[in-house]
Amino acid sequence: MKELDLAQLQKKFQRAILQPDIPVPDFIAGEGAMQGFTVYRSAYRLRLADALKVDFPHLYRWLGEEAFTNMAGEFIAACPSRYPSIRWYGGQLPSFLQTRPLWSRQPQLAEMARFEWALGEAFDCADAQPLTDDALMTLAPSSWPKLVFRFHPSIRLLDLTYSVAQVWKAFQENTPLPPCRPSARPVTWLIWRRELKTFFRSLKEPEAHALQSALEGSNFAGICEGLSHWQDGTNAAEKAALMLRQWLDEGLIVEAKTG
Amino acid sequence: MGFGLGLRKEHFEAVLQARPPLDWFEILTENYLVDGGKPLYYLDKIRADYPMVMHGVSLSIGSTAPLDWDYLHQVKQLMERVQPHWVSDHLCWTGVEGLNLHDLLPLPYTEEAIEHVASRVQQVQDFLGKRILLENVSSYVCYRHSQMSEWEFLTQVAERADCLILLDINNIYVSARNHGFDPQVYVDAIPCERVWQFHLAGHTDLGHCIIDTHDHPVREEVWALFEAAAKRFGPVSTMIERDDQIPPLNELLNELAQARSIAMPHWRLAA
Repeated sequence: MKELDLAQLQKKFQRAILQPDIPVPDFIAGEGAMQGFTVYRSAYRLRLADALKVDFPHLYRWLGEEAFTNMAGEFIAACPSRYPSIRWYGGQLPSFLQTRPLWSRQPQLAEMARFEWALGEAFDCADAQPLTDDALMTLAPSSWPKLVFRFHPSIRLLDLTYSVAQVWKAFQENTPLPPCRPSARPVTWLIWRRELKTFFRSLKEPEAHALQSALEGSNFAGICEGLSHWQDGTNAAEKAALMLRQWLDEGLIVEAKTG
Repeated sequence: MGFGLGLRKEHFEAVLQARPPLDWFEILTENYLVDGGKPLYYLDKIRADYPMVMHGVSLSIGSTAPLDWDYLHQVKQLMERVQPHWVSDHLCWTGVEGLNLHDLLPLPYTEEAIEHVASRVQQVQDFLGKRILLENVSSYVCYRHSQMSEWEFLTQVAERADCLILLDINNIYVSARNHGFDPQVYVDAIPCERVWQFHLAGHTDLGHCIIDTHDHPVREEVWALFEAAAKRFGPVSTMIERDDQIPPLNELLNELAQARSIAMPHWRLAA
């Protein structure tokens, strides 16, 4: 047979793995060519589907084996991996579920995927030492308005319409699944890691707004001003101070300085 | 280095608490290419107590796609953290055209492939500042235009690139069964001085074909081949790989004790 160069061989081999319905390349030798090549075709799909099960464990339980496997098969066909580490393979699954006709009709699935992916990101993102509240309390009161904050790198804010966090928690704790209904307006969920443990909680609108603006670099005065949309001036400052205290207690803030 | 195990997250706590009597751990490089959290926390703690080697799956040394320098920079950074005794990956390719199939795909055993791999190994070794070990993979297909046996190919690559060999005893057995060659011939052909590490693992026997699944204990036939390798190569750092159906740490320690009891009589004699 005609000599094939290595680059051509690898392109053809890869194409035949990605498209299982095309014939086994003719450069594969022997009677067992089909059988042997099938090992690679199956292993490719199994390995990626297994990675998705690891990264989206409760989406997997929620959908069940058959539906998850079908979904994973579609995703794998549409989105081959471009990552050196399989750790990052599932990153596009939430947007895939959000945009593909069959799956986008059940928006709670994309939301669950977003939630689980964010938990995973918080799990192994960079470490940072949280600021103690003492460190903040020693600052002169006059410096407070200009304070800006640096937050723990694990922090993720997600706006979710469905109660997928409650469903996730029920799976995690093996308790009966709550109904998963949409709320009238999306609810903001905060995900973060403290030392090695990952946490999440929902935020009311003023806190979601305040945290978002603090994350974007607003100083304390700016946070108070934002809160005055919900509270009058004095109450807004008090409310902001309380929130700040909670963020410190939760280990969200790693640095405060006058900007 | 003696007898070691692949470090798996299922055993992190058990290792820290029990400090099991083994000589070293092999870590899967890609599992620690993250910025923080549990993986690196346990890595640092366990590294404080045990020597380590790093074992990657994404180098894709045989690919005709360009070397992934971002990945290699990350590997080098991790090496600075872990200070491994050595770094290994596989004699295979994992994808082209920007894709990663996350599988260890076989190369055709040709002069062209030897030249290609050897020049890439040299680039990687220059960049990492040390020789790497390349592992023989299990394979399920053969290429029509292969010009030599797998053992000749592996030897040629190692010699031309001046790299070292991680000899996976189970993979030799798996490929021997799948392609109908004598695994002893393979073992006897590999240059002793280049073999710095052995892998032992279990496989799944489907009858018509056997698959390198790493989800079973090491099988009898593989223990027998290991004994032959222990005799031929003398003292080589030996470990057991388990990647699926991961049992409690004690079971793996027992299996490792079996490896020790097979190899040590030969190695004491050699000493």
